Amino acid sequence: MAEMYRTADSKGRVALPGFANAMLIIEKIDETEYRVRRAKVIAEKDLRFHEEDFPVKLSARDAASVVEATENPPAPNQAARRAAKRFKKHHG
Amino acid sequence: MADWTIERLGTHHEREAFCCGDASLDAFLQTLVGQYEKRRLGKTFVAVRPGENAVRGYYTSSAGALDLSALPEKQRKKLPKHPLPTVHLGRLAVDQSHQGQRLGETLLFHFLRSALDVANTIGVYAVDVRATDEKARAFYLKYGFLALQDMPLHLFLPMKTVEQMFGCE
Repeated sequence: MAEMYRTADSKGRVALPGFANAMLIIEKIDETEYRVRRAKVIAEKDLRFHEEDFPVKLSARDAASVVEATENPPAPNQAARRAAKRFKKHHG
Repeated sequence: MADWTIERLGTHHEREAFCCGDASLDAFLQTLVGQYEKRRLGKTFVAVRPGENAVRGYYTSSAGALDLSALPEKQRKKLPKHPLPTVHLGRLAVDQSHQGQRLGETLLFHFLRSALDVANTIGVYAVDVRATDEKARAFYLKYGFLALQDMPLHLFLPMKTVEQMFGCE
């Protein structure tokens, strides 16, 4: 990255090209180097997670398969049994 | 199996360098997880080496629900009329430097055992997960998860099957 010099205005503010409407992150790399990065700012109201779309609406055939599986649950396969055993051994 | 500690995400955890190879899962942990937790959409659990704070893997867990209303009522008479409650695995990721060490498996089974604890307290019929891609889908299929036909990246496992895994039936 090329060196860039900017001077502060009378209120101590520095304008950086390309950093408008962005969060500025100043990261200390080591004793002699700092890295300046920018993060895109997303308004909280625009941020959406898939959990906010629950319940998951299933098709008729998917709903039928869920009902069938809950009424007649399959036995765990060997990979799952072995993994559960490993987990219990290491994590109680 | 390597030595891991799995704990609730805290402010002391180092998340900035996490890189699992999926940009959306990296971005979630690095920049979005604060909002996720603040809104109480779910909880985030991280894997660290004992005595370290760098996050090597993580998963998110929340309440979920499957809407079965497309099915005629007579076919679901044994089930509740409201959407079927589940424990939802929203995300699971392992840092590239620690892939291939069964950390994904450890995180998955930590989630499943926690889901079992939840099911012992409230009514839960299944665990469900939203896989990010085909590779992730294959990971869940390996452990017996059942994939939906019309939403192939959405998989589930009846809680009774989870109970049997841990010898609780």
